[in-house]
Amino acid sequence: MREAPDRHFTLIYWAALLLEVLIVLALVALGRAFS
Amino acid sequence: MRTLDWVVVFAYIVWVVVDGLRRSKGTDKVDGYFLGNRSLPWWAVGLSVMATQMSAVTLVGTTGQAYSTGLRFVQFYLGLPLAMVILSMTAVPFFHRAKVYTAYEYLERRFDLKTRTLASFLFLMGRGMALGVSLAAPAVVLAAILGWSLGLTVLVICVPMILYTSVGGVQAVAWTDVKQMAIIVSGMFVAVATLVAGIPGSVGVSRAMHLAGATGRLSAVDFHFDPREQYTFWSGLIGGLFLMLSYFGCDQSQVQRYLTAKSADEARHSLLLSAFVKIPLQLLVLTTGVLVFVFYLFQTPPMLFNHAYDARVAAGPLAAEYAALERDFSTTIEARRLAAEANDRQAFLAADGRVRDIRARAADIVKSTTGDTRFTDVNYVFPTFITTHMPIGLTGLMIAAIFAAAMSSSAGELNALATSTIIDFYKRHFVTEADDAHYLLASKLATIAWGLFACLVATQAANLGSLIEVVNRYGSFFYGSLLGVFILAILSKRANGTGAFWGMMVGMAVVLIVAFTSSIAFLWHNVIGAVVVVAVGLGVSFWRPGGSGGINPGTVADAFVITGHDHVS
Repeated sequence: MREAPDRHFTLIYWAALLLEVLIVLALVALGRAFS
Repeated sequence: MRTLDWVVVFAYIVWVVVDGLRRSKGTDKVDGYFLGNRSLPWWAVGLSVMATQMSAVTLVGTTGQAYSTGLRFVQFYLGLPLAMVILSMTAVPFFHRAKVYTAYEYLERRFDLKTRTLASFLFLMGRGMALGVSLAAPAVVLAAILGWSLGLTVLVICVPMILYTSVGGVQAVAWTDVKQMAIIVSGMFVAVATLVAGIPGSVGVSRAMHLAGATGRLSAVDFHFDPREQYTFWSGLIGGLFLMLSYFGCDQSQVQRYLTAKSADEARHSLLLSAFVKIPLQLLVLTTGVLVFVFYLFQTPPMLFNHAYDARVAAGPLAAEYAALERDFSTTIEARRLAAEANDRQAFLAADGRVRDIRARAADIVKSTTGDTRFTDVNYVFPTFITTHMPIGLTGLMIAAIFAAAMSSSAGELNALATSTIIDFYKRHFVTEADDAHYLLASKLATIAWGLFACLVATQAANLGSLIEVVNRYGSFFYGSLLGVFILAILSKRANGTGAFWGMMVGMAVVLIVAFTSSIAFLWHNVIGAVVVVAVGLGVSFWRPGGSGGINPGTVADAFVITGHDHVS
């Protein structure tokens, strides 16, 4: 059993993971743009 | 270094001590000394978490690495945001509400004393030695750059740090961490601005970035799956996830940071700060390294940045070849600069490849002349730039930032070493019934003792040879196993103390065998260790059921109702 995170934390979790995906995509784009 | 730079460095050191001592209010009880009376705001704890992780090696080593290979080291941190989210959902509220001083305290409640003692012992051995080694790395570089002796440099880092950590406890550590992070981050922004300003106007930032990109330095993400490769997307995401779960969830030097937060929710916010900021911050550091590379396309760099063995090489049997290489290096650097300015990609890449070959041959000559097979100049690249090209005053700020990084990461570790020593060993095994004042004094003495031990290891680092490699790899030998034990404790009701103990032993043995007999990259060792511990731990627990020994063999949710029984009161 795990404590159900409230809405506030759920939003923060998704925002953190979304930011990471965006950073990876930006890095891939950067590598291609300047290769 | 000019007078103003020395004034800045000196002012920083005095300020950090005075500010640290000022923060010692409320630390006249053990609870205040080790947990800051659980009163710190989330942002201060969050910055302290990041400062503890960001060592001086992160500043000087990572910039040097980016100078040589570019941004790809950022992949090491790809598992961090997910680890922070998982820990915020599980371990953070769990430890906070369990009212523990150390993460290992919980292992006795859940399993038994031998499991707690083994885990805490492994932490003390690993961190105790690693603290000295992690102090030595920046000390050696700063000593060479500033022209000080190694002993003096170690003392300049250690004495202020031991002073404010031993007197002010965790609050002094956290609040000085906050200010040290501010110095480090502002220092990095100043360095980036200086480097960008140093790019010739005729070239411009865009073309300079194309030059860096042409050498592969802006290719940060490698999706190729190869367990022998150190840094790929997959090793960073999966291996890095296990490493970060272990480091932030099971290593006392991090667990203690968020135990100081006002509430469980504040502790979760503090850890989640890293999920948002750590990768961008690491990119800032790596970008600085790439910009140093760009900067030296238009300025003449030294052939090797580490001059420790110059005299010995000049007097050695390969001196003539080394001198010829230096001449070749000068001509090739000039050819590279002209090609860069003319935007001649092919000529530029050919010259850059030749520069790389010359540097590799020069390093080989140093190694064969001196017998120092670990010779590298990676850690000297950024400090050389700072002391030779930064404007007056800002050089002092950057050197202060390196001192700040060394102190902030080490102070948190020192504080955690003292906590585990007193809570998991001294109070648990030796002096079990004494008053608060006694344990407070013992805690301060433990802080000083570990600090002096770290100083000793740091000053002897040059003579420790391959021991340093053992210490550096030690963490990866037991981190995965430690994580496995906590996974067993938190996620399985059936696991018992015997299973956890033997799971941990077998997990470490398997990782040792894998490390010494295969070419699997170290980030995967954490995954292997954790999986083996869980498998063996569950197997032994089914084979020999019962005998948990803990007061409550519950899991995450159950533990929320556990009240502390092992507190120093």
